[in-house]
Amino acid sequence: MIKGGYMGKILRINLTGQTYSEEAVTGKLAADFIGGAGFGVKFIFDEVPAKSDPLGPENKIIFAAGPLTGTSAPCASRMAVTAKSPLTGAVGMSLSGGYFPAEMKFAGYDAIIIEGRSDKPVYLWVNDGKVSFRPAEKVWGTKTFDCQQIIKDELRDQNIRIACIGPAGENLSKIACIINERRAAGRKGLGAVMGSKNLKAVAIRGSRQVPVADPEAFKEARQKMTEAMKQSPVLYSTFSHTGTPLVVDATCELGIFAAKNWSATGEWAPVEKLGLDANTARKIGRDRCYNCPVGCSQLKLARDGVYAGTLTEGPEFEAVYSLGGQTGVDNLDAVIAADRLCDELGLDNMSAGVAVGFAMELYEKGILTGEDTGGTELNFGNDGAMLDLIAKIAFRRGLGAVLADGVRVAAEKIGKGAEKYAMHIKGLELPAYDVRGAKAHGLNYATSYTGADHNRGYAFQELFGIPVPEAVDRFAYQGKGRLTKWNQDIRTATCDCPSMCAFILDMALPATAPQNTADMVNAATGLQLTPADVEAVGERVNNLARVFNIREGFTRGDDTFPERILTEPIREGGSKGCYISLDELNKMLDEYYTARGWTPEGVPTEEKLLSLGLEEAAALLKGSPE
Amino acid sequence: MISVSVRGIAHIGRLLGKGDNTVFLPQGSRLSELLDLLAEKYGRPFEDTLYTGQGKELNKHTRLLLNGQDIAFLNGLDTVLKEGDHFSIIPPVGGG
Repeated sequence: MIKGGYMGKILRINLTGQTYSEEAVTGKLAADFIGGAGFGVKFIFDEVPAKSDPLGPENKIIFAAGPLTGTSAPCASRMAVTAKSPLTGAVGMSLSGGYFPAEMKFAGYDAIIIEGRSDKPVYLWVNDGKVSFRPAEKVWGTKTFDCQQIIKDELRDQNIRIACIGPAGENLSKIACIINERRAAGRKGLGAVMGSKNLKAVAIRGSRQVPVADPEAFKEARQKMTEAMKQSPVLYSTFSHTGTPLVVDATCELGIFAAKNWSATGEWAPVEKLGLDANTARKIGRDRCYNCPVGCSQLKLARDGVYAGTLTEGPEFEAVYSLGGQTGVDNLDAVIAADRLCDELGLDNMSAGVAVGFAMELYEKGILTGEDTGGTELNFGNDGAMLDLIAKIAFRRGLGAVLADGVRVAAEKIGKGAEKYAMHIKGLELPAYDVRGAKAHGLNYATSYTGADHNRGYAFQELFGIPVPEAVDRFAYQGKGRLTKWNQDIRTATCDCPSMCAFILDMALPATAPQNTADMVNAATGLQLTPADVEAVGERVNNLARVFNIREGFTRGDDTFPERILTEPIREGGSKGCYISLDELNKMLDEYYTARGWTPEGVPTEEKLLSLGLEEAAALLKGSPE
Repeated sequence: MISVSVRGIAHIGRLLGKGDNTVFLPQGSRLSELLDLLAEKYGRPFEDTLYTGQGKELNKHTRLLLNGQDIAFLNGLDTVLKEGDHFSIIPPVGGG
């Protein structure tokens, strides 16, 4: 019985018929999946037909907050946006913060399921339980920040929160994102799913209070959590002032700041020009998500040259990697401008930077020529060419049209051996950390249900030396299967589902996250989850997502790395000589599948699925040849 | 004598100064001796960053690397240094 935390309602929107309905959040759904990514994965598994075109009307897109979102819990204004990904063909789930997630709860909903396709551009206006479909011709074609302002003006309320797409999503770029305020559900091309539905934006406003089942217990659990945050050696003392760019310095020192399309890791380590000090010199303020006491977002102003005067929220570490590291652009002002441009055009700044770096390497190797680039000298380090190409990707112009569907598709189109340089897993461009020097983190990239995704099972043991559950040798492959399962399940259960900021797990709660989640969620909702139940939610979601992907045709062979990771050792720096051989990958996969209770082919067993209460998934696999 | 380069990240870097610091030690010196030398040079703020306050018990949350490898997977503070080694001190941050 749900007594709080949840608003108790899921809003279902059908864009084809412009109708909507409300459904109840059941106690079983809450206990089994908690919310956020759990709800998203459950709904697309149940409702998106097998082999659906991700850009067809049968795909669905789900915005789901968690039971802590909108309460007084710190760092919980997060939501998962989930659909079948047009970039990977697998589960596409991306998280965003800011204010939209809390506003969705205030408007009366735990989740919004959007299905069908509108004939004409529309935006949704969800106002305290009332829903309207509004024409979006006026905002179609606008950049994301302008779009938000125009809708606020049109609805005459500056406090409305809006999630929208930019030109990239409208043009169905498979690396398009969804922007809410200045935050992004960035990865897996979810912006293109909205674009394919002719849905420009979801505008939302609410005035309701999120009920809490047991206010006294909730206060106690919250105090315990905030105390743990205060005890963190870095959260307030360092991280809230520096944000993520500090990680540039740390990863350069570890020799895992991937550079120049992963060809120059360790050799090209631009700490001085792209690291913490350079970022701090451009910082003009901070921003924060709803009810976040940390406030890690850094507002930065480009200072020099043609980029002077450009403001961005960021660039976060991953954007410094993609727009600086991958492109060899060590001009932080250009990276700031590119970060802003990606946000405005509605492009995933990670995939966009990797795509540009990929094109730069192809140009330097002669696979692309001046004929392909329109005469531009697309060498590493050419900042102007980077910004130009980003805009072309969003509008599908020139070489941008080739890159707009990500590096996997681009490599197929270009041919001439380009595939060797396409840095992706399952179609998703690689995140920052060069996993040749962090092998559990690598195994997570290879096995994450969303493709190469740092956030699904972030190996903080290897990347930052946090010895929980134990100290780990980042260069070894032994033990990484078990560790990766743990990292993925814990993160899913304590961050992606409740929904809670993952930075808190990494920096304040690494050893106590399941207990913290159980205490907070139980007090908020009246559920009675044990820490083991919480961990099981993570395992359940990872198994259900795996079965979805198997249904879509994924196999063990897709749990792999680009050739460069498997064959080219890092040549310099703190991870010199490291790579992950095919033999090591196979040993790690064997250990991982065993730890997960899956077959050697990476298929969840019937026993495992039934133990997690996933009867439909078990039945689906039983009915299909392995 | 051997030379070892030392680099700190974030607030530790501000303590030690920018970029690499070169420290000279006698042949056969161990990591513990390098830390003693640094503590002598940079004083209390450095010691507070490195140690728990219980003698020379290291803070679990400060990461110490020798040539990129965590010292826990070498010989800890007894690791013998050699010419050209690179020593790093990194605070425990995360995120992307």
